[in-house]
Amino acid sequence: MLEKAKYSWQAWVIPCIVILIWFVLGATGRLNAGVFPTIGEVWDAFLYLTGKGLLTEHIIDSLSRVLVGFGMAIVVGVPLGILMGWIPASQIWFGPILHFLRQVPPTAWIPLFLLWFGIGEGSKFAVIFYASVFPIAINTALGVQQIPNEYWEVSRALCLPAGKTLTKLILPGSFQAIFTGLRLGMGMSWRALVAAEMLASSSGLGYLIMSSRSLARVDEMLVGIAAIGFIGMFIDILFVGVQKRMLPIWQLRSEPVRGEVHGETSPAVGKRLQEVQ
Amino acid sequence: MARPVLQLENVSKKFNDGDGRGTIVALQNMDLAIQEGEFVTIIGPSGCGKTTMLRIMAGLTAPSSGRCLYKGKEVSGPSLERGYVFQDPRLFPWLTVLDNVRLAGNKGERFLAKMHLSEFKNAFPHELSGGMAKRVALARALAPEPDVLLLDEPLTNLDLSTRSSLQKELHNIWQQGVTCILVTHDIDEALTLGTRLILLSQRPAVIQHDIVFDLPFPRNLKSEECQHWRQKIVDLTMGVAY
Ligand SMILES: Nc1ncnc2c1ncn2[C@@H]1O[C@H](COP(=O)(O)OP(=O)(O)OP(=O)(O)O)[C@@H](O)[C@H]1O
Ligand SMILES: [Mg+2]
Repeated sequence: MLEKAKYSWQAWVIPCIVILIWFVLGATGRLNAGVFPTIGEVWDAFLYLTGKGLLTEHIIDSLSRVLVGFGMAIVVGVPLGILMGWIPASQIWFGPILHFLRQVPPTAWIPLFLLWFGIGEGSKFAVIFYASVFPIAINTALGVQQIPNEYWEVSRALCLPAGKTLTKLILPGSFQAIFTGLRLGMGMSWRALVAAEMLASSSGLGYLIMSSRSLARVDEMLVGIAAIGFIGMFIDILFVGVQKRMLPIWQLRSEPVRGEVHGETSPAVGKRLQEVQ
Repeated sequence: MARPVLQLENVSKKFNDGDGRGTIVALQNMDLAIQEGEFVTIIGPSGCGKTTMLRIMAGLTAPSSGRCLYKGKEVSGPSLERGYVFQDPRLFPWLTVLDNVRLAGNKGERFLAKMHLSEFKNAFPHELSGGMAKRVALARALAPEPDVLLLDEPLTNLDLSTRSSLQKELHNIWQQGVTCILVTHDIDEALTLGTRLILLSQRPAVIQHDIVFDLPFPRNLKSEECQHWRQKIVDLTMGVAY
């Protein structure tokens, strides 16, 4: 959806109107600088923050936290999901606790994580991990369970060993769902991270907003908000793009996956067709 | 007589029906012994339990009562010694044709060549016609070089020429020493390939007739002998809706 939005002019209409109104309100002196700065002031704040390298630093700090926490969530979530999908009996063990924990928002844990993992990076990693591990594990498990029974029977009839069942059946068969889980998890962890940085941190985009608040710099707060939104959007577009590129050829050719694949065929597909002819 | 390669001993199979209250009896007290080197064809009305019978022999399902023996040992699960060709091809859509047939054995490529599909080895299943997909499924079942091949209507819904070329292929496989058990709806197919024909009743499947053909190969369906058998089988199946 986002991808389509990127390419169409309609996507720019509302943002342009908003910016125009904002500009006009500022130019006619109707904005109270302490509460709502003009667009020019926000732009100046942006230039100031990037000029001093502060914004980049905060962004890098936030992103590297996400990378570590999200990586841990993949390492735990995907195998856990595969286990639950592959051996449904294991759900008796993990299912209820997972569904309990998933109902508790990651932000609710922040005070406890601070206590347990310190105000340093540990608590941020924990929040990100917590935010993304459930979508990853649950979507992976669903994906594995949605692999048609017919294919499981083939793997039984061919006496495939566990390793081959994993690489030839389970992973490719649940690829879509795993990726959806990763995408959802990434969105969750980005949001949770900002919350964690607002509560206790000395760097990162969340910290930028909180510290600007104590300095009453509304312009810088808005820069922080914009950065969070744009980067989150960018990451999501990145995920869609990667998912599209990694979509196996057979899926590109047969049916688009929930409208996220658009018309064009990849060069790999063209090549494949030539080979077959 | 030698020890049978496959044997059903008083096998019954019951299923819970849709809402779980009643039970469906698919097989009832079935006894059957299949010798090595036979080409057994099975004909029976739709839904009578043919697939269920094959699945039990393969070890994909356990009988509700009775035993299924393979070379004298009770079958407890699938084995590469018993190749199984499903009613639908069931190729993994994410693997190329070659990777599909290689799933269970490095000989896959050779059997792909035997099925005249070598040039499609890098294609994906969705790029194949129905007949090609069935040939790939057959190559996949043959790749582990099974002693017994269980075939669930592998040739239905194929055009005549694909069908007859695949029949030749099955005949060759059988001649190389693979015991074949073929479920079919087609009397001519049974006459072309089989050394034995088992006629099943309506559900629950009971063996109604067990006929051994001692006709030489290749069979000429137009010959007097074949026509005689054909008429006989048609008569036997009258009254049972096939
Ligand atoms: N897993 C199952 N659960 C419940 N009922 C089943 C199951 N498998 C088969 N049956 C029932 O058992 C009966 C026999 O099924 P089976 O698939 O063996 O028939 P078939 O002779 O192969 O039919 P066809 O010629 O249509 O392929 C059918 O009534 C079917 O509904
Ligand atoms: Mg059947």
